[in-house]
Amino acid sequence: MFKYFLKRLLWMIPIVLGVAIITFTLLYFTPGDPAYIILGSNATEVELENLRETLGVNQPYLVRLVKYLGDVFLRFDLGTSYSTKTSVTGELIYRLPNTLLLTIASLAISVLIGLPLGVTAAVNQNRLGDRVSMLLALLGVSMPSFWLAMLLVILFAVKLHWLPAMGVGGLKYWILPALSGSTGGIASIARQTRSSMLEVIRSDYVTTARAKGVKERNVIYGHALPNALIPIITLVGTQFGMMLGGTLILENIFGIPGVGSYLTTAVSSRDYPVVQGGVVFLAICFSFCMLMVDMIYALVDPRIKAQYEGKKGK
Amino acid sequence: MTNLSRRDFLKVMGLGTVGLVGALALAGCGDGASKTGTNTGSDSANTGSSENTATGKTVENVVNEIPTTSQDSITFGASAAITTLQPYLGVGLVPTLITYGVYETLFAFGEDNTTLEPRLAKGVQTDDNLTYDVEIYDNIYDSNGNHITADDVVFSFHAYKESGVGLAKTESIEKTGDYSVRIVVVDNAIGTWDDTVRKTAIVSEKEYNASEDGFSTAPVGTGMYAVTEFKPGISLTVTKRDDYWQADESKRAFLASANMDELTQMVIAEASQLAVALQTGAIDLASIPQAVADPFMGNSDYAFFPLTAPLGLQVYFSGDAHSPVADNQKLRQAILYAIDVDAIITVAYDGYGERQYTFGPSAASDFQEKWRNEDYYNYDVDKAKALLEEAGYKPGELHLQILSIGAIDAWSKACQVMQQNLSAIGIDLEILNYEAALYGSYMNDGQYYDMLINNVTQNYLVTAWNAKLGAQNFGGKTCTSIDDPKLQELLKGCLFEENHTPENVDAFHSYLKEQAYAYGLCAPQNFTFAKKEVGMVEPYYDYIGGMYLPCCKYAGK
Repeated sequence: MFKYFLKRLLWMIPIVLGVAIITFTLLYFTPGDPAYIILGSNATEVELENLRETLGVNQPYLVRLVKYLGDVFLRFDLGTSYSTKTSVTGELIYRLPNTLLLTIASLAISVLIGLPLGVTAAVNQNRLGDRVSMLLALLGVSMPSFWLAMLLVILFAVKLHWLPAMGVGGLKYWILPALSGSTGGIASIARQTRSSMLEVIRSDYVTTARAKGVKERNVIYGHALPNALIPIITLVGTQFGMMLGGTLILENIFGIPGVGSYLTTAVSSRDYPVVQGGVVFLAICFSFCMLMVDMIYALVDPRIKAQYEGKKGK
Repeated sequence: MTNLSRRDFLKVMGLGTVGLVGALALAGCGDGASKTGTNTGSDSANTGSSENTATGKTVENVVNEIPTTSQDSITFGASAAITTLQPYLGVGLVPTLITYGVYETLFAFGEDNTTLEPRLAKGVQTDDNLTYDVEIYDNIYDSNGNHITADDVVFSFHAYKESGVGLAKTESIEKTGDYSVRIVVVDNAIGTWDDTVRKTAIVSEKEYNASEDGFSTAPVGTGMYAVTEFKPGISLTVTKRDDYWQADESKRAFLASANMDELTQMVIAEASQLAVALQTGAIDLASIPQAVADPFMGNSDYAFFPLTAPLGLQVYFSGDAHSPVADNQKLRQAILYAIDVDAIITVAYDGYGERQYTFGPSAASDFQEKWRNEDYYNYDVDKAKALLEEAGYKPGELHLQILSIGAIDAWSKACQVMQQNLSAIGIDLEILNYEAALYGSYMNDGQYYDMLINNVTQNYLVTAWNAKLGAQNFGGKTCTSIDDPKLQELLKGCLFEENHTPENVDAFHSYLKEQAYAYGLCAPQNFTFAKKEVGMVEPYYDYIGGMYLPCCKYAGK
């Protein structure tokens, strides 16, 4: 198991290196002028050229690439923002907890609601419970999170004054962002759970359990659900990784300084060090996330654990 | 699952669905109700004084029944992100609470936003408007007790210059005494000296070098305020210092005013959330777009402060040989006569704005009132059609492209109006809606477009003209590649201290208008609303139209 973990960790090095080179290359060839964004529309061409020189964006591709890779992989320095002159690593570390909290809270709500909804739908296949669950799932998938966020703000902050409309603080500040961010996840998890459960529920061992007189609740949650979890864990892991960099709309609406809004602003202002550093950082986070997912597989399914340990499945 | 539990489940689901739909409907209805209760257009009358100008409409301050305030602090919202408080960065990255309140410069604009007045400087002498001998006060201390001397001034200028974002026209600076420096600038154009001495924050070299992040999170300045709390990306709080170095109030610069003890700026990126924050009391004051201003218009709980922004919209023509507009004056004139500025104000700014009468803001100090009565290509379709024919084109023959930034809603809408206007005379206008950085790559090269939309703001028109049309800035042509020696001659004829006369300024304005190389469209009104309890009676805006709260006046203060 440890050997597998170590092997996966080593595999992350070429992955992150590849991501760094691809990101750098794409940005290098993307047209756009960071100097214009920094100096504004009043700037003259002479001033723009001076700043381009200062920033080093006029240097050749290979010079910049080698310097960048050296900074990242030898000095572990993701660089300094062109516009704010702040350390990219520092900014990402400052913002990551907010994004993590929003992601974890949203996913927790998604799992807590989506999983039972999916199980209920599977158990009641083609009956009213199934249809209502899937209707709700469809609503969740179809409802844009920013739109739901605005409606929740109007209802809970403006009309009822129960919750703050924005900001970062105690638990109450996270309720509306987490709820808004969870709808898509609820729907996806519910649909995936239903599909996985339907496969498992017809298995021989489930029929056997029922025949042995095991209570229906135990059959579903004790025998069927654990075996249906693998694709659901994959889905949750993927969503977690995607949300790390994809919560920008919610971050903007709720005034949360997170990784997503940081990267989006950097993309539009051609703040290359921030974009490159942010993408590499997210690639590392995503790789770890997928590694964790693989480790959880082993915990859930002994057959996978046996494979990791190099034993023959029995 | 048993029948009972299934029934329970269905009940919960049913109730949940009804609840969700009901709640969302309630939220939606509420929003609609607030909109039907007021109307942006007609409410201008309810808000007190309003004025329909020749084009567009403007509204004026509404500060009736403002009580004497007992508030010592204000929390306000702004959409700009605050991630750093460093002194030497590009435009708009650091809030004015820091640039004006925490840091100080040698000189600063006075209340009129035109007159330069000493701040850290005690006095200045020059014989040729190129070499300046500046003396600073000998009792300047920053908020950490560091004594500021000429060495710090020299260090600060070098730090700003090395950042690459400022002092492009400063040739050198040297220490001439413990409290005096000599600054040499490359030319004596209007605005060169101003820019040199009012944008460079003077900080203690020792303190700056000791800072691990270049004052990014804990700035130390000589100003009236000190940072008491900074949460990057969330909020910034500054508090008035009681140990400000300039004890003699009569010698304090206007920008050193501190009419409020504590100010907190909240970062609220989303425009509608700014309005929500103001409604819910999370903030006391905000500048918000007209589109979300309905709940506050005519609402007696708020004081209303509109401002016609000094930052307006302009349209430029390409001078590159590929473009049919480059060497065809009649065609450019035809296009300008076809543009309905009223419609642009209505569509892009909900009707709140003013047209411009020259290429640049009407608020500029060298703007001439007589220009308001001139025919500045006033909308005339028949004239446009006639000029188009004189230019040698028939309807349907021309396809032009205009470069714009898609993310700036007002620019996009203005382009759409122009597209409609030009189609009325038979010109097909294609809008190239690029994102900002891409736009920045192409805007100073006329080969990529026929027309360009942009904005420029300066406190002098000649500075704005020079920034966009001065050949020395763009390799011998204007920013849109127009090569016209006479234009450059006239620009140089009004740009410098010795020739900046009304006659010379008017001569350039007239030539530019006649040639129709570039054209001032309109300037929007920005809306600021303050809760009545704040007690604001008179706002102060800096030269680019930003409200600076420490210099505003409050009832009872």
